[in-house]
Amino acid sequence: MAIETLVPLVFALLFLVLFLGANLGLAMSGAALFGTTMIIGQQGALALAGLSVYESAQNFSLSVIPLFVLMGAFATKSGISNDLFSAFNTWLRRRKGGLAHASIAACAAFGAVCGSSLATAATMGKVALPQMARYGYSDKLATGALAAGGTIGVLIPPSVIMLIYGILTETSIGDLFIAGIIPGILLTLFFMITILVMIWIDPTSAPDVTEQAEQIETAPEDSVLKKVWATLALFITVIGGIYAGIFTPTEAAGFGAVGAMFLGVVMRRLDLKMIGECLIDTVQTTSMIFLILIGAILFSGFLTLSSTPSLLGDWIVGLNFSPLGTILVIVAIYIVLGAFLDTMAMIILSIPIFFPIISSMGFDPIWFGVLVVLVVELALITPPLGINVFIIRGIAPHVPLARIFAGVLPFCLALVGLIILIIAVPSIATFLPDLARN
Amino acid sequence: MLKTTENLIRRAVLLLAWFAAATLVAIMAMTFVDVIGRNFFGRSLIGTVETVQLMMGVLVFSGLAITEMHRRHIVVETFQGLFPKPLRRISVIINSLLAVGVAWLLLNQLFIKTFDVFSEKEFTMILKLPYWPAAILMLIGFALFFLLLVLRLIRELIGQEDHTYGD
Repeated sequence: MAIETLVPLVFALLFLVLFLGANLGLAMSGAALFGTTMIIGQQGALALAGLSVYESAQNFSLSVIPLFVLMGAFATKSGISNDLFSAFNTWLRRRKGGLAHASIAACAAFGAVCGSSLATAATMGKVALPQMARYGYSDKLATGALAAGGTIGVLIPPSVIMLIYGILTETSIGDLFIAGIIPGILLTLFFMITILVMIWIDPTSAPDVTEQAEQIETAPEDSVLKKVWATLALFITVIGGIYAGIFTPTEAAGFGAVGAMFLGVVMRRLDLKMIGECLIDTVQTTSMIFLILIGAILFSGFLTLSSTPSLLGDWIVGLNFSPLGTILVIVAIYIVLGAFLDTMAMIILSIPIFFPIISSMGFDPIWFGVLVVLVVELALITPPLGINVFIIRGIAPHVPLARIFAGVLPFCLALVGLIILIIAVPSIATFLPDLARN
Repeated sequence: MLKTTENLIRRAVLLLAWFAAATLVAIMAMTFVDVIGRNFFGRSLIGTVETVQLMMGVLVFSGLAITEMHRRHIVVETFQGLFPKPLRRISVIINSLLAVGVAWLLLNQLFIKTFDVFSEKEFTMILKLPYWPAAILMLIGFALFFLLLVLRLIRELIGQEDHTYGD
């Protein structure tokens, strides 16, 4: 079969079974086996698959994934989300919409020890939503802010999506993490500005400042600050250690996991049962990610054998798009894919295709990684999938889905604004990694 | 019969999951001790890289079954809800068949690889650790994952409710 026919056929089959609800990792493996068999024959394809399956798991540098996931699990279980929310609440309660601002800031801070958007949205949602409902915040503002706030978790390091991107593209994970810091802070500010605008348009969506400041219970400042400083110290040690070249990302992850467990135990937030739950949860997340990674490695092998990236690259060059045009097309494809595919599926399916094109056009892989994460964040809160929205809906089942999506919409616009800014000014993402290298 | 088999497999899955958890603790501890040793005492833990490599394989494959048991593997569910019930059942069965087929092919290749590793008596470079114990554990983990996929397919074919995963 001609390659020009085989590749679209394999993609069509893969998307068909995925849309029928197939297991992503096995579907990718199956599609790759079929495609590779058609190119090099059954025996070669199976032998290659066996070797890839065996060797892809036995990889030292990939231990960064379970270790960072474990660090996030310990941080989540320790309930540091409560401390962060209390701290930011203490500092921001005298502003109109203070609780909503505190939620966004706490999401960003929580993202600094937890690399998962879903975990950030779920954890902070449970802490902040009841408080916001209690003090008369509109459902639209409260749920929208928390669904959007959760997305900051994948941009501020450590980030599971950045880890996957780094592994698939062989880009420095340390550089990617550091590159996420400035865009992460900017996104936090953009979301806070969005809250101000939403309250300015509809002043009834948040309670009166004085009333709120007097009513809201806050913990004593020094005790809250002590706990927040512990979290901050963990973040600075882990990410600062990578930045300063003291740790590799894998070592930082190991240090961070032990540090998060130590803090949880010292603060009497973690007992043996909870540590066990964190371990089992991390085992499952790791196996879930690796089954997909194995599928992605097999699928990448098929794409390489079929010369798909270079064929696609030639095709795109033939279209005579400018580099900016190509980036915009890729971003548009991501937005469409994000409406139907899980974020992990979207990244793993697309990166082996887009990355060689981006590299051949001379774009910075670190910058592209940040851009991809931002587009993924958009997919997390846009309909119909918008998984963060569903998580928040699970915490606040009385709020109609349409109302949460309406609340999220202004934050989507803020996110699009940041995407445009990162495309226009790439140094926002590349400044810190360049500084670290120099 | 099916219920007894399910119970047995469930116990094996849980046992393996705790083994994976213990492996994770070992990876975390080794990495931590290595970092502390190198940065504060000027001495690395010898053989960390190769030991963690072996343990990673065990961790990943030992956790596959419990991940399947708790339905934590990623599937795209966007369109399934749109199908009428009979069509949904057909799509579920087709998916399970495909999953079993692909997992069977991979399991076979993993078996061949494990057999090679066992018969060639390969060792790691520094600590001279044998590869075969890790390879066998990986094979057992994947085999258990495969068994769960087969059980799920059987249940779907006979239209039975899901009992294995109900913890």
